[in-house]
Amino acid sequence: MSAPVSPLIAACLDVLLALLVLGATVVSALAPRGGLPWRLRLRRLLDVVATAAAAVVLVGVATAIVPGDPVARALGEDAPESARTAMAETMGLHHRDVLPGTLVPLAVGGRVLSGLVLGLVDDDGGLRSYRREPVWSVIAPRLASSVRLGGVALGLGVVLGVLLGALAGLRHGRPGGGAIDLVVVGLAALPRVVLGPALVAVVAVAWRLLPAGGDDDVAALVLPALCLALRFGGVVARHVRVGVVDVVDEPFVRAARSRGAGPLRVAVRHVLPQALLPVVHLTGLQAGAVLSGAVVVERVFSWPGLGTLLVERLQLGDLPVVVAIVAVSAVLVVTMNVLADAVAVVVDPRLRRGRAP
Amino acid sequence: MTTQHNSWSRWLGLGGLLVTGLLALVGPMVLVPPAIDLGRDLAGPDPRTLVGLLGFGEGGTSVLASLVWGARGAVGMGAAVSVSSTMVSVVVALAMALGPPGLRLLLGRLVDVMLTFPSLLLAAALSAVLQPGAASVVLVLVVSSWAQPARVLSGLAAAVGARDHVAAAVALGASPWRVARVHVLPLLWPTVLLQLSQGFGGAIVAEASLSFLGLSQRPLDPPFYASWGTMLDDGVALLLAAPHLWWPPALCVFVVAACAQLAAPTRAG
Repeated sequence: MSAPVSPLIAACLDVLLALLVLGATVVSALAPRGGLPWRLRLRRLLDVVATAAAAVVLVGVATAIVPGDPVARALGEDAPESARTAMAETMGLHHRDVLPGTLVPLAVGGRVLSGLVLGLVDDDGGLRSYRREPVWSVIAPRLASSVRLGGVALGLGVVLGVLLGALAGLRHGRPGGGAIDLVVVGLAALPRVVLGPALVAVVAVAWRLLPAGGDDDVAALVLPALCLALRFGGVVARHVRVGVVDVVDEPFVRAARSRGAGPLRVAVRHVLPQALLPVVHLTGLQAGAVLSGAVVVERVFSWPGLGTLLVERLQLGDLPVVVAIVAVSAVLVVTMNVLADAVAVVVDPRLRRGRAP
Repeated sequence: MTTQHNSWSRWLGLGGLLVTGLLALVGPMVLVPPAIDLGRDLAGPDPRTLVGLLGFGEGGTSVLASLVWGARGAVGMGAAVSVSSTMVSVVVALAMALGPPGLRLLLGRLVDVMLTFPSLLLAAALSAVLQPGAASVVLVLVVSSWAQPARVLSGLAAAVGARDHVAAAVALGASPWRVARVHVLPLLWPTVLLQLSQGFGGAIVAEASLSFLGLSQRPLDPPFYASWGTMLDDGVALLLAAPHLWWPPALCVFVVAACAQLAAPTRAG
């Protein structure tokens, strides 16, 4: 509409974009591994972009394959014609008129991706929600509060998990070790759907210590962050515990002890660094899980994050916003994994030479 | 290195799962959900009768009856999901480790892309578009949960595939199918069991979370309506007025999830 391009060419461009993205992800996997460090970093960056773009395209393709008319689902049967065409156009569904049916899903995938990217630079040109708001303006405030909650929760979880895991590993096979193990397993298995309401009932209502919901001040952040962090901390602790148990009787640890190093110094300087590597990768992997576990936590504590936005818009059938949330979470997850790889090299000197990530 | 977890805690976990299974099997035979009786709407526990042991819910439904019927649904669904998703991940992992190079790349990329979707978000998105039904619940949870174990297992399968006995089998002319089945798969069993057990607990928690969010595509006919997740949802709304609606399903979900973790064979001293 905005540019004087014939509908057929516009449709073909969208199909081409989708094919290009899907092809690029496969080709970037085909290219040989190894090479100079800066080249490796460039490759990782390309991987990030390609994987996230492919995720968006696949979601677009899926929305067009699922039975039923997405436009009718979002707007209802008796929506005015102008609203329908606008919605069909933002999703690329208007390509139905000029393309054979089998190509439409690909066209939708390409259109959704180009709409998201356009929306970043130009509010008017990009993907729009069913109420005609630019998607990024819908998402931005929600993303900010999700990142705030997730960041605090991940930090809290790592600290808690490393402390608890180290304790469990060092007490292994000694009095009290079994009890700490049970606490660790219990935390790791604690479903947020159970923990959240329990925290609200006990801490917020019975003790009146902290607010039960909202996002007004720092105090309101404590309970949801704790709810996310306790379980994540339990998962981290299980891995740290295994790592500590593995090295605690190694010759280099005994050598440190025999040189007269105190128990604290042995634990912090000699044992823990060996157990930290899995924590780094786990944190990268859990960034996505924290985001998705956050759906339940956001609902319980009425925290206005991305997860609740996704559930609301799914129920409304607002596919453009859904697709945009998927894109954001894909970029977030892949970026966190790349960051984790980078941090792993800092933590473990053995990764610095020779071995490609 | 690969010693078993403290055996007593494993037995605790296995015992807990066994009790849950029995509850799911026998409970619904013993406890028929009572007829609606508004006279005991939200009434507290009444230890004189079995039906009232844990109190009554809205419309006088028995909490204990809902709990055991919910157990049947949860155990059946958890088993179906964990078995199917583990099977998918084993097949994909073997293909990723031993298949032709092109297939390896494609599957590797597919797993990469799947892992960029946080699993509960993916499940929520899928259940919003599928028709209600028990099969939809299983499908949603399998699709959102196979990629992680496939990643873990494929790394392991590749490591096993690089061992000498596999090279010897290939040199003797064993087909890829035979290599996968006879020479690689048996060495993956502990991890497969781990995934099976964790998948079971994970599926039950995921289903409860989806129901809690109002996104589960559970069928609404009587034996299924009492899902632990919907009980949690109803219970949260009345958490302060009638806590006896909330804590029984909450405890069940937590205990089953914890038992599934404990029962899994883990690598630890």
